Amino acid sequence: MRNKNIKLLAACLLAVAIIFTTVKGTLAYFSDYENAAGKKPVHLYIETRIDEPVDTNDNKHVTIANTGETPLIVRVRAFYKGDFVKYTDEEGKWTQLGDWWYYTEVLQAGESTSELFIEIIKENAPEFNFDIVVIEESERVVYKDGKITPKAADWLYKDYKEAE
Amino acid sequence: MKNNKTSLLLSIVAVLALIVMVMSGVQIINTRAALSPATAVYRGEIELGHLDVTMLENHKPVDGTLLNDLKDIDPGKEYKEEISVRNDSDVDEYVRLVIRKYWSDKSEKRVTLDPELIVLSYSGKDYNDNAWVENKAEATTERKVYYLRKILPGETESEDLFDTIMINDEIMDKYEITTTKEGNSTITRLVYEYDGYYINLEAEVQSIQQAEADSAAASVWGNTGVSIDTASKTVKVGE
Repeated sequence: MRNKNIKLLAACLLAVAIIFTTVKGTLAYFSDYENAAGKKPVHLYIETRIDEPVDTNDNKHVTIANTGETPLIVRVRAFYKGDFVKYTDEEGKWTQLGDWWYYTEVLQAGESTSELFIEIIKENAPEFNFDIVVIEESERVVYKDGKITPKAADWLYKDYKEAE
Repeated sequence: MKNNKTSLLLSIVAVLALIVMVMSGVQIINTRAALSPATAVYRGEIELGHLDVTMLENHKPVDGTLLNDLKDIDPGKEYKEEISVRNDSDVDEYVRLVIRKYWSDKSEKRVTLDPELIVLSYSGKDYNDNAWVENKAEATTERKVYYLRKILPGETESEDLFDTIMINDEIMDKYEITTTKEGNSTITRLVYEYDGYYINLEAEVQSIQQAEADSAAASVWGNTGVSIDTASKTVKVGE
């Protein structure tokens, strides 16, 4: 019994010794922090519509509508055979460079260009049936230092450079 | 036998109590009451300093949100996004800023689009040329960590870490195009890979005390390879 009590006492002393030798003090340092976060959507979707109604004289009234979400620069071109087509731009917002007609203003989302009137000169036109095919290209406006960059539309830049 | 056992247990308890008191530094001293003339009461106060760092966006304190002044963002166009910090306490502190930039979808789920196309710049200069220095050892494509080179004195504002944000126009290089005919109209659609996704910017400013700054940095910032020269009060990155 005496040995048992001595073991009990030794165990208690050992427990106390372990507590005081293994539980060390902790050091705390002053610090502070603050978080913030934000996000913004990127709209790149481009949708355009070429409206090219044909009147009774087979002339085409071409406008381009920006039905997407971002500002665009646009150009159009008509394909046909022979020399029987005349372009008219009453509002003076289109300009011709080579085979392409460029709209000189940035076309904002929801806007349409002014009309580019493609008229068939009947006296020059051949007697066989013919068609005028209008194609359009558009590219999203990209800015650099507040200006539209050449990269915004490589085709536009190249054609301008060729025209110089 | 029973009395022996009880006395032994009492002895053990007494010994343990004595050990605890001694090791805890408790001293038992004699107390004595005596009449004595009252003396004036002197009181001393020690005020513990505290750190208080504030993040600034366009030199205004943020309320937890960033990109507050940004309405729309067009590719290739730089927008003002000035991020700096202010020490609002009266003691000097060392500061670092952790920046995260990434893309997410509408449901705020992160996507694997390229974070490098979200460009943060400081007037076109390299970060090493100004007040902040990047620790590239802590960098990933999404996460960048910048340290203020010098200690930030109390009640002062740091220089900007960066001042513009831009989306690289390379995001426009990937798209699919479709064309449909409807009567006298032709509809053309360009669907870009990055369309409809969100740019995300997160920032966390963390400051530490100037006393024992090296230990504080290791404790708070972790093992970053950053050391602090307490003599010159500057942060050394990768040296």
